[in-house]
Amino acid sequence: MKGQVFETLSFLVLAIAIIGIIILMRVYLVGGFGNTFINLAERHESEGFRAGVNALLETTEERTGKTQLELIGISAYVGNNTINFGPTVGTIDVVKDLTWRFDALFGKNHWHIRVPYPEILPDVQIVMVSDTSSSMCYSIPVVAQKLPQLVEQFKQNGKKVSVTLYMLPGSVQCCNGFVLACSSTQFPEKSDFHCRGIETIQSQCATRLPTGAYVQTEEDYGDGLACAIEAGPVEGWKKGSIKLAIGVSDELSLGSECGGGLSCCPSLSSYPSAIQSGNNAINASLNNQAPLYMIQAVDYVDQARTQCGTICFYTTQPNSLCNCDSQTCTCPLNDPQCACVNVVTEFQKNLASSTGGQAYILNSLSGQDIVDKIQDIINNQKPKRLPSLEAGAPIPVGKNRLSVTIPIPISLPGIYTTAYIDKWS
Amino acid sequence: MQTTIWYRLRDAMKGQLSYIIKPMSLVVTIVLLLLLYNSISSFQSREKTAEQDLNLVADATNILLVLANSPSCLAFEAPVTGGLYANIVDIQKLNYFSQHYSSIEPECARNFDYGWRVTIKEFRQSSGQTVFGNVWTFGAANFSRDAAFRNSLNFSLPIAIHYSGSLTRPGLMILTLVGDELEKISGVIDWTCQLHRQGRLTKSTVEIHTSYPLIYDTNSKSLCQQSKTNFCRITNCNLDFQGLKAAGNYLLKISFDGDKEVIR
Repeated sequence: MKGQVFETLSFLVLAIAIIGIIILMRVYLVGGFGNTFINLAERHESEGFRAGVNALLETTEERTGKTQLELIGISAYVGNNTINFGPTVGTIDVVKDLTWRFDALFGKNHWHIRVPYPEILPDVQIVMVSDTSSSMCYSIPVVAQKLPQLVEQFKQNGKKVSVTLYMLPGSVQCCNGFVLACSSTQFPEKSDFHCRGIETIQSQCATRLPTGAYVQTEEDYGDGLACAIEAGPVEGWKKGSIKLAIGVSDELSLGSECGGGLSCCPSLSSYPSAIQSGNNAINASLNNQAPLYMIQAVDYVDQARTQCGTICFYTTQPNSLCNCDSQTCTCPLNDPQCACVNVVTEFQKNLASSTGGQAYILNSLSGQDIVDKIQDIINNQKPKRLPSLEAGAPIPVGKNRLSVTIPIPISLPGIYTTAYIDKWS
Repeated sequence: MQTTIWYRLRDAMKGQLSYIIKPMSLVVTIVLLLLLYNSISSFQSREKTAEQDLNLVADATNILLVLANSPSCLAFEAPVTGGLYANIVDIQKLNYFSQHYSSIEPECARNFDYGWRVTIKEFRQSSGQTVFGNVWTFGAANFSRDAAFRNSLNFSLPIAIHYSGSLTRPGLMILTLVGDELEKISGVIDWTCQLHRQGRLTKSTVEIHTSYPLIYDTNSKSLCQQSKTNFCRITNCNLDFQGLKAAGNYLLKISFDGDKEVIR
């Protein structure tokens, strides 16, 4: 019996050993080949996916000629998924453009892309248009002195602000000796503060404005703003910057003259030219996404605000009404002037509210008030940036997927972001 | 007395058990060994299949990558810097290839084990819809068929088609790879031809298998298998080859007469 038991046991051991060998071969030999095959197939897939993504990002958007990589970089810079390339090209929706390409190459609902946008403090670019009628003689000299200082102050606090001040035509010489025109002595040129006569951009902007629109008078700030927005600041509008247009005047665009009558400013509709000029400004503002901020300076005329009155200016041809000393004469205007505060307020508020800006009414003759309001305007600008670009279907849970990360250059030295792209079957 | 009977009975049973268990053990052991042999054969067969699949996948990957990334093939080369970009193909090369390689693989990505044909489809937007734009195709015009066909694979790779500095469109490069008798036979003949042209070979002997009669059409410079219909592949060299009248395994002696490849 003992021998039989051992004989049976030895057979069992032999059987178990053979079955063990078979299982071992199945697991390790064939399994190894299977794994190698899977690894190679996956490598092919992942390399193909990476190369495919690279190729896709090099394809161009046909209106702009820019690659998808460039468009994502610009989007990341401006913090928006849509990019405005101006009136000729129009707006490009980067997500939409990426979506059809990814759908075509990788299949609808089989991919996902996320590009976190970096925190970028955008530049603030301001075009400012100033009324140059003699009623501005009290405030503009202060603006000339204080505004460059304000810009410098922002710069020192790490905020890049630039101002291009366009002076409307006229070059009135004020009683205080200040000439309402750009000059290197009154408005010294700085890297981020520039003063230019509106006539320097007339030809440039005339082609972009509606037919017949041009800056007509020293108070035509509606057309002046339209012109300044279309031509842009001296350095040009930068992509991703906060664009602002500021108008400073105490009158209606083209002036609030009573036109010989003494019935001042009956209603805004009595000034169709001003309305047309204002509409030109609104259109330019909306087309260029540069909201209008209006600062209503205090008119010298008189403090009763609704009465006509006289205003001081300098003339070389004094008449009997002028009060002259040995050097200068102060004379009343030939035509009576109106402050027209109510009508001017209505007009300027309409310009601002139609474009997403704001209108301010000053209480003091001092130009410091204008500078303070400009400071408020800049401080109140909050960059409207999206946190990221995201497109495609949600990434499924528990499904095998391929992932690649692609660095995205942004048009700022040393700043990159990353595109995280996933694909699944 | 009783004790003696018991011992005799026990000895007799022991003998009986031994007679039964030993043959059974032998039979079961043989069965197990046969099972082991069968398993080993099966594993070898699966290994071979997996190896073939691996080769097919690897070669498909290589062909697609070479086509899309080699400047000798389709890769776009920046005119000033000479730089290459991953998977961006040049429209001019694409047009040239589709005109000149309509029925044979281009030299730059020739594979001597497999035959292949590539179709490139361009995508574009039309009225908000994604549509196919231009389509290009080149490579082998025919592949092995019927009994001569065993293995094929379709692979695709996303690419970008470079028209100009401001126009690059997305596209898909779709490869059909076939590795069977006609591809292998013409591959070995073309390979020896290429080595001869490089001065590295004067004669050779190769072993081939064909499932159908094989002929050489001198007019089209094509090697053809005759199944229900002929399927042919263009060869690199002019051949002096009488053909093979029946299916089977053959040992071909290859030599060269000037530029002509002589096969006997």
